[in-house]
Amino acid sequence: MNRFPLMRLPYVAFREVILSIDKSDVFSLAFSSRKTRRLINSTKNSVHKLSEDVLNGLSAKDKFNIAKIETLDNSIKMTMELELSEQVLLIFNYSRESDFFDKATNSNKRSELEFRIQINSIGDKIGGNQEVMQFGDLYVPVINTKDVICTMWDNREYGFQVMCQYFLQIFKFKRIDLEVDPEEMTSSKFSNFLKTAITTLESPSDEISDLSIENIELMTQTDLHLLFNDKKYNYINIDGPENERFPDNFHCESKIFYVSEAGGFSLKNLLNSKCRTVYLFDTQMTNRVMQKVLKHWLDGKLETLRSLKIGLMEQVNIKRIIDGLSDRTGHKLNRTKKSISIIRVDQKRAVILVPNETTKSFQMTIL
Amino acid sequence: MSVENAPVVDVDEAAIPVEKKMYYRFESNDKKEFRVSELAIQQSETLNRLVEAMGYTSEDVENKPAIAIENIDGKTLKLVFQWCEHHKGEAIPVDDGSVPKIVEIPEFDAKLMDIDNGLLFKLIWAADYLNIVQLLNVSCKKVANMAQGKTPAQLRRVYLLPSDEEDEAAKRAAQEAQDPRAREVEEEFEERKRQGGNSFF
Repeated sequence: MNRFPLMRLPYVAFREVILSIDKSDVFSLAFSSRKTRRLINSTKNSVHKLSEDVLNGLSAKDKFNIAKIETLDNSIKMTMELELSEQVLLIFNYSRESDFFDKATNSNKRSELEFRIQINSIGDKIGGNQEVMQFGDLYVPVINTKDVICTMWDNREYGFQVMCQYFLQIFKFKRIDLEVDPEEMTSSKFSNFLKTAITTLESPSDEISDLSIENIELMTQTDLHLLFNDKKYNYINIDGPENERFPDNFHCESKIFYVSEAGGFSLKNLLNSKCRTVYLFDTQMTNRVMQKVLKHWLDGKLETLRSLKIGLMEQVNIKRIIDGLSDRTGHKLNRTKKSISIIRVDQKRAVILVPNETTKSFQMTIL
Repeated sequence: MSVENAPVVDVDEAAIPVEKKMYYRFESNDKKEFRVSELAIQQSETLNRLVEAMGYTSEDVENKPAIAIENIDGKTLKLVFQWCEHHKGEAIPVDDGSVPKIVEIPEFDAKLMDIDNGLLFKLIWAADYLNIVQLLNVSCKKVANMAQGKTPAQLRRVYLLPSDEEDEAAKRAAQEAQDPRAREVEEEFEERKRQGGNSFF
């Protein structure tokens, strides 16, 4: 190989060489050593504090390289979202200091950097030139586009596992989130991906995970057990199932629990779950069910609940709900025009919003 | 070396205007002499200022000793002046601030720089020393092109870049070399080894 002693050039010439190297190649050069990186960053072709314009013009591979460099130099922490759907994706995102100085905050403006790694089958037809990228000791065929690095695998489940392990080794994470939709996958394939994802979610990170699910009705009992048994989430967002019931034994634990199209979500599901803030929309629940919710609360259940907002199948009738509590004793009721407070024996207070117009939305806060 | 025997940069005689052209004589550090046109010299800011300051007449050029360029050898200087003669009269490029720099390597320059990397290194060094902006641009672009599509490991080999570990080792070695106490300990260790001692302590 023909070699050239780059570091022995006078600085002006060294700078000219660096300024003439394409951005993608400068990133590779910046990995060669800390000293090289420091010298590169002394030029205008720096790999540090890139402007928004420069970032917008970069490929996913370049952004991945920036993240690696900034991890080495600044120990940044990022979020990783594992997306298991028709596409299997690892989406990385972090906030970084840009080159733009913001006088208002007396600091450099921050901007978001995102890149995606897709787990593809080797036979997938993707436009672009195939190249080989090194991930740890593994050389993987990839197609590098502006938004995503498509990694090509004979066995996608193995590829997902390898990539999760690799990224857990090279990056530190603020949070690892999961988004699942089993609709376009065979059940066994989805389960295998899910096992890897759950293991990944259990890796060290600063914050607990967010979870987003579509087509929950297509998930097996084993999948649901994997996802929810002994697992705490920050935020759970479930879309549907529109016309199917949640399994009777469904339970979850999270700070925020949000279900749109919650027609299949039952009182039993709610009682089994340990969530602080619960939003259930388009339920099949009635005023009578809300009465039962309050009774259970008076009986000492729903202890983690702090806020509840439920879209009933009928108009909210506060009188009917409260009147139904007559068979419970030991609590006090305080009524105002806007709300009703129910004070439990232990002095815990549930404040129910009295709607000033007809609505199907029942709202309760526990203080 | 006499002027007659000096390697002369190729000059297109037909292109020489009727009026007498001014030439300067330069000598490399290995005593090779070159005659270079005034127009070609303008490509080098350093040489251009030098000859302006000297204020030589045509007679001075012939009668006085050749201007010595002590840092550059004849082989490199020949390439430099060939380049300057080829590009004489061209405007000196101004940096437009674009990053990465857009530099085209003309066919003549590519052929001129079809040389081993040792000579290319000297050519860049000379272009920097003589402040020949465009020669520096194209020669550095040639070096920049060596990076295309390479992995960090390949780039370390191509550009002879020490790894972090090698940098650290070199730094430690330099510190130890500067620390007289460390040197004394090393010497004592070597002495004990010579005397057949198995252990330092």
